[in-house]
Amino acid sequence: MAAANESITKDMFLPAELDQSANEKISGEVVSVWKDAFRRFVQNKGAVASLIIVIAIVLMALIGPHLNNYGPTDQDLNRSNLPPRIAALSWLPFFSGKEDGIDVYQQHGIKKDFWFGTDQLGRDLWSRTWDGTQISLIIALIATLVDVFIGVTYGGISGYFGGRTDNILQRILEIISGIPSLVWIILLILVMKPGLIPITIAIMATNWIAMARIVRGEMLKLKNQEFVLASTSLGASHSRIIFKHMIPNSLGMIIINTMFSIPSAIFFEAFLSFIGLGIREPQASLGSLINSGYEVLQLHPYQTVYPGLVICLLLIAFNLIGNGLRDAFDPKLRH
Amino acid sequence: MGRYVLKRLGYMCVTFYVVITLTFLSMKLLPGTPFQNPKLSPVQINQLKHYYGLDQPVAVQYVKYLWNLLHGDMGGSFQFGNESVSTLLMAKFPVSMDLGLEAIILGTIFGILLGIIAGLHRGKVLDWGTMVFSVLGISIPSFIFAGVLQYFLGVYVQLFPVAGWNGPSSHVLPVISLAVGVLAEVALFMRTEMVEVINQDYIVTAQAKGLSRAAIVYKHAIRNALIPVVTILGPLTAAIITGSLVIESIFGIPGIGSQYVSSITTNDYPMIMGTTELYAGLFILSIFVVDILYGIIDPRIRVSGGRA
Amino acid sequence: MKKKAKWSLVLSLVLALSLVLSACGGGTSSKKSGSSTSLAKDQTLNLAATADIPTLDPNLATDTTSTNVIAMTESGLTRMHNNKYHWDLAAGAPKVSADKKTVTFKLRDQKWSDGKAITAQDFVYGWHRQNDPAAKPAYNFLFAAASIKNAAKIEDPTNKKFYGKYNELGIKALDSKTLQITFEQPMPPFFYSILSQPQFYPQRADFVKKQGKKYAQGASNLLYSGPFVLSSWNKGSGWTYKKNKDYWNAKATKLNTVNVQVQTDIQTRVNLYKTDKIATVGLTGEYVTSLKKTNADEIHTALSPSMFFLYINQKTNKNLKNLNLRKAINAAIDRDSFVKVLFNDGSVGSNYVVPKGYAVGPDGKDFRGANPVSGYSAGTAKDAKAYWNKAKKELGIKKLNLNFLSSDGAQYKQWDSYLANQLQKNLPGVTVTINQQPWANYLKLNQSFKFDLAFSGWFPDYQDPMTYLDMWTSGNPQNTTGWSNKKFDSLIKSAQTETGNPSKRWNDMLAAEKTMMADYPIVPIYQGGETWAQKPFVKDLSYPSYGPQVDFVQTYITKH
Repeated sequence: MAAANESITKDMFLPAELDQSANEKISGEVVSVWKDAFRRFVQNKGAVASLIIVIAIVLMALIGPHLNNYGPTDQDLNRSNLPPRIAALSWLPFFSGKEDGIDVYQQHGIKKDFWFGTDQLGRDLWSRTWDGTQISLIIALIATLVDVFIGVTYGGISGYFGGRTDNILQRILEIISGIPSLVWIILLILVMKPGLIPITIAIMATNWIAMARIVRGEMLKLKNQEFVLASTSLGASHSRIIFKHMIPNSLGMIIINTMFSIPSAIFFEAFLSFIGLGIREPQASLGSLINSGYEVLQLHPYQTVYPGLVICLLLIAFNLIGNGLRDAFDPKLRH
Repeated sequence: MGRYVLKRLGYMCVTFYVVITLTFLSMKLLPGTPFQNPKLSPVQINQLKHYYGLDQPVAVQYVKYLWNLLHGDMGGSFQFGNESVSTLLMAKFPVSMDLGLEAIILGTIFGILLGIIAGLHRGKVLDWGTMVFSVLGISIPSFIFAGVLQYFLGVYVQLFPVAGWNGPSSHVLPVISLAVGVLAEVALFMRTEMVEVINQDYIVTAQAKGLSRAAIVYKHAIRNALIPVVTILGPLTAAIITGSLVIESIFGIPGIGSQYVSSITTNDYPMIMGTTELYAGLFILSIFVVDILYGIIDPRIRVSGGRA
Repeated sequence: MKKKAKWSLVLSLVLALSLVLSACGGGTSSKKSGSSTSLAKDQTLNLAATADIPTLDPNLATDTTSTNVIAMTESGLTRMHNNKYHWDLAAGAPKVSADKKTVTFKLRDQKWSDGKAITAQDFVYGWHRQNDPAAKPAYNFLFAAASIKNAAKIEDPTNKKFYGKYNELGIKALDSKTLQITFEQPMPPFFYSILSQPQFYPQRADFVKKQGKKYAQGASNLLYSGPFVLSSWNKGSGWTYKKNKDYWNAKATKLNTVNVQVQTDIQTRVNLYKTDKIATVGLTGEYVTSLKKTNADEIHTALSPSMFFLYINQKTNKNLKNLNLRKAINAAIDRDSFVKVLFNDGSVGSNYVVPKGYAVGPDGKDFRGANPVSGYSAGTAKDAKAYWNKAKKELGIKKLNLNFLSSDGAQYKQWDSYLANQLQKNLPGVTVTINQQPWANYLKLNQSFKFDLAFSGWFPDYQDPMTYLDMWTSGNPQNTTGWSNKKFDSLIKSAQTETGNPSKRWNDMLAAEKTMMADYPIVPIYQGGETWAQKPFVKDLSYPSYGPQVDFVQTYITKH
């Protein structure tokens, strides 16, 4: 039977049912932008390590001051300017409690350890460093949020619409930044008494300007590119173009600049300490600690080194995270 | 182009005028008087206010100030025995500008070079090295650098003078201390831009056309990557020229930075006004120059700023 | 911060203590050991100053830097050297009338740097200009303090008849070499030393008029009459002195050149000293400890007449009217650890108003020798708690917030923190809020009584205890405590008018300090000290407690 029916006839075939929509079906797993970004971020070892460092620093800022028995503002002039000592690590020169070969602890008859040493007033620098980290992180957080919200919106509108809008917004920007922030800050501090709030407001008031200018620059560059033209001709709305196309494409610059606004906020505060307008004593910030350490830099370098180390770690970590994020969101690197 | 430049010049004048007015008004908000000898009786202070015209209505003082300013008279400094502010600024500003420009030029050149190298070797050791160096440069304040440099190269090795501003060797330490920050910031920006530019379609096209790597990097990548760097350079220049205050005081450089702070804390109104005007003028000018430069570097951006 | 009133409420300790051309210190460095005593060929002295010269117009000069330069380059009737006055342009002691109300000086032959002779008329013009409101004198109250005839009336704007009429001042040129000065009351004991102050120097009428606005604005806009002339002044970076060969006592001046560079940063100044670029540097706190280790025999220490204290505002804060509370605050502060650890520069903790080693009475004894040397301590931390408990009961309070006002500046942070911490630690229930303000606003808040405690300092104006005492009289603008005591007022009044009876006057002043400290209207903290490093080849450089900040008129350099 099989041999008899060798020939293939037409009626053996049926037309396949053609489903138009099947063409459009995505065979792979559906991955949203965010999910994809997350996946790629996790693959970036440097970024993940940095994230862990930042989390660790934040945790230390919260619990560090409670890990020993000294409050960040407890003074005792008997234990003034003690170098760091950790009994278990005393074979390391950094934690031996010796300065210029002299055991300062023995000299002062101090039994307890001070892990980061003490300052001139005998305050424990371990507690002060983590306490200061808290303050600096708060300042940095506010500065960053403001940068992103005000700066990106302002710069985006200015660059995207151009023309008269751009002109007016840019002139306002020039006026704001034309008057040195120092003048504003001094006015603020005179009115509000020195402290965290006027400093934060002062940083907020001036910090977003750089971001606005950079976003505007990016907008100017991007808005003439083909994909924006294409989107415009397809009738996309302004907000869709700005938020769906232009901002994601400028994300790299925005993130990098955010990473700069963190140190600049921290150091603006430090600069204010340098001229005597910083955080109010006895509170400390990383900047003010580095500043008071600087005054004895040649004599007791450890007073500058540890807060300095925390700042460096924070900033390197923020940078690597920033890079990781940028790569994760970069549409050109999707695969 | 000519018309655009003229128009921008007009705007610059308006901005400048608003800055003068706002600064003037904020001076009136500063508490206390410029006469800070606590042994002066209130009556004597009123006498002094009268001599300096500070007892007149603010509007009258304002018009007088503008009038004098138009005639090139910025008034006399209260701190420095009534010496004319313009003379003081003329004497000190060039020093600050020297220091600032040397640092900017040094920092920018090396920053761009480092940024390019890092961007081209993305993810490799060179890139990492540059990154870490740059972040350190940004995160360590310049006065710490200055202190360390001064101690090691000035006191310990005695290679360069500890302080002062005479002769090229005295420039080395302060310029380096100030340039490190610029270098780091420029390098990071340049690297980011390079990475971004290299992935652009036109670079791929250029590669497909068979252009040599050097030609691609030189002709296409760098030129496009420079734009945001120019953006940050404008404000950076103005800020660094006036903001080198800390470095100036550490190295004993007779610039306007440290004087500015002391004029604010002593309510030396004419001096604050004069320095602010100089600073604002520089800033506005630098923004103007940057906008013009935009058009030259990137022909796609029309200087008119109109919608595409 | 650079420009602060000279011997006055100087909050800018930052400068005062870190001065290289340091603030007043007592005694001289006369270390002769070490290098040889033969003169070096090159008599050049290099110094660093903490601030530029604000002004060289003797009418406007109120700060230490300006007055120091003027004292080195100009001359008055007397000149201070090693805390004693010496006749300078006065050719010896003057003739004093029987009632001690008229004094007649003969002038020495001395030329201005343009070759013209200095005349009695130049003195008259100088003194007149200091009392001419149009020339904006800043320190003319010294004339009233010295009881010069009519000075107080001429300086009082409410006095319609006399105000600004400087021709009425008690000074007259009898001829070009004879100068007559008249007083309101017998000549005060500190009159000869106050004559060494720039306010009492001669000025040249024709030169001042010719220069107009440019007067004293540069090295060439002045005439010199002192041991040195100012050969250059580069604003912001420094200035140079050259020996004045025409000075009458030029043979005593050994230095040919003195170079001064402005350096605001103490670390930089210490580094300049270590690299031999400057010959002396003022030290404070940690730098003292550090240099004592490395350069022990180059360290010198002296006591200065600067007094630091806290104002207690009992005018607007009713709690602070309570004496036990004020005593508690006074007793709560451990002053000795404060000066030892944070200053370590010879400063001493104080419980008194008039400093040690500054003024000597008619009996030849120091003021502090006659009144208790260590002052009027309110007790220890234990006593502080007892007073505080009493005060709490009397006031019916459990807790107290105190607003602690201070000037801004890096060092203040530490000092303020310490003082606030001491109060909080030793007086449980007290919280102290530190309010650091720029100087101008500090003054405003202080004078309008918007504080509870205010950190302040006082430098003397003339060599007499009165300069520390009369400010505490009722209603005195400097007395920003609101404290008022009739007995104190009358003792001061009698001491001021009894210049004819020095020993009664002295006793009145001793009694006045005792009366004041029984009420504790202020919290004395410490008397300033001075520590500096000086290269061993620099001899006879002095930091007198009264007179120029740093006196190098007779300094010389030995071979090294």
